[in-house]
Formats: sequence, C-alpha cells, structure tokens
Amino acid sequence: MAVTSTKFSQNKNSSKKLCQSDEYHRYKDLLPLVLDGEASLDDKVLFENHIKKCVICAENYRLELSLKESIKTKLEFKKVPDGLIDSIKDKIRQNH
Amino acid sequence: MSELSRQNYSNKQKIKIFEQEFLPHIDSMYNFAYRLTFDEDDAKDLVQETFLKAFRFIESFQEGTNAKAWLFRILKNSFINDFRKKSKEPAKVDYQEVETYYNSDEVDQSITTDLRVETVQDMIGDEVSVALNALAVDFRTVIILCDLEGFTYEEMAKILDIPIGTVRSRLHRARNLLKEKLQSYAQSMGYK
Repeated sequence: MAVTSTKFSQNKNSSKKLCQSDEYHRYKDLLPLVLDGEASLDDKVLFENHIKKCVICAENYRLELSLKESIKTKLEFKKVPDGLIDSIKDKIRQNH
Repeated sequence: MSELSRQNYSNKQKIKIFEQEFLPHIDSMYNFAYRLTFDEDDAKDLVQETFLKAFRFIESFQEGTNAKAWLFRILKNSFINDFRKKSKEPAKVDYQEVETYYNSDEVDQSITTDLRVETVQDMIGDEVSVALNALAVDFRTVIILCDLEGFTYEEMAKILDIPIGTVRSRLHRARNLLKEKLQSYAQSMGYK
C-alpha cells in the first residue's frame, strides 16, 4: 500500500492519538501482516518489539486480534442439510 | 492452482479424489455459500452446483494440491455468474461501494477507531454476524476467507482473481467497515 507523507501530516493533525514513531506507517502496514501470519520473521519480531513500547499500536493490535478471533469463534456454524451429500453423489453417478 | 496441466484420471481415481479430497470441505463450503446468499436453499443449490462443476472439471485439478482453495474459487465464480442474479443480494451496489472506498483518501480518517477490545469481546455471535452480513459482498467475502477460513493472501488472490495488493487493501477496508458497524451497534446498545 502506498503511503504518502501528506497523509502522515493529516494524521498528526487529527485529534486521534497516534503512534509517535517516525516509522508509524511501517508499523501500521505491518499490523495486518502480523495478524494474518503473512509477515516475515524479521518483520514480526520488529513489530512485536515495537508494541512492547508503543501503547497505541499495542491497543490497535489487540483490537484487530479480538475482531479476528470473534469472527473465528463466535459466528454460528450451520450444519450441512441432511441428504445434501447423498444428493450430490447421486447426481454424479447419473451424469457419469 | 493447478489448472495448467490437465490430468488423466480413471473413473475410479475421479471418484476417489472427489470423495477423499473434495467432499471433506462441504461444511466450510456450505457455510461460505450461506454467508453469500443468506438463504439455506440457495446455499444448498450453490454447493451442489459447485461440486458438480468440480467433478466435471476434475481433470484440471492435480491430486494432492489445494482442493479447498480450488473448490472455493469455483463456488465464488458460480455465485457471481449464476447466482447473484437471482439471489436476494442487491446487484451492483457493492461494486459502487468498493469504488467509492478505494478512491477515497479520507476513508482512514473518517473511520472511528473508538471501538474497544472489551466491547468486541463482550459481543455475542449474533451481533458479530449482523455486522458482518451488513457489509457488501466483496468486503464480507475477504473477511470470511481470511478470518474464518484461514486462507493466505496468495490463496485469496487466486480464489478471487485479484492481485495480492487488492486483497490487502480490500481486507483493510472491510475490517474498518466492520469496526464501524460494530461501533455504531455498540453505541445503540449502550455499550461503553
């Protein structure tokens, strides 16, 4: 994702609390990669060291993680309707 | 995925691949289909159609490779090509929403990040489900594929026929929209 310095200054001027690191955008981009297991080992260690010091990024990470876990664990899992597997197998036998 | 080289399977091999590599994914596929269509009968038809297509094109599938991603790709394409027209999902709206969001520089600033971890943890499945279902289908899909099904970005790119960069940006937007929905829901329910 391309990140511009203009956007950075807009962020600094907003009322929201932000990570004070000069590399704010780097950590912001790394967050989803670490969350989704897509970061390299070096980047993961870098991010983990950063959130030990930065409350803002640590909190953002906790929030994203809790959302991801809620999706994984709280959604109702629907049972496959009775007979669907047999019906598929029958159709394959007929067409075969 | 393995469409480049056509395989030559005997009928016995086809049945074996179908039963051992394809059918075990029926639970995830049915749930994905249901979250796309919001209708049990439509989900059932979509899953059945997907499996019949998978069997018809089984020679494009290389035994032992990523059957789940291959099947999800067929399911998603069937949904777009055949199902969307007749399902209750309003057509086109989602693409407009995608474009609007992708072209907006202000989107990150406009999205609230006041949602608290504890609020999310206190929410029950129905609340998360309603928020997720309120997202346009393209955003809903990336969250389901990534967070629920655990596909990698590369697998998602193949399932959805989009570049990895688009997977990442779409996921980013989808998560922000989900937070926004959950935040307004939390406010309406008086969560802190």
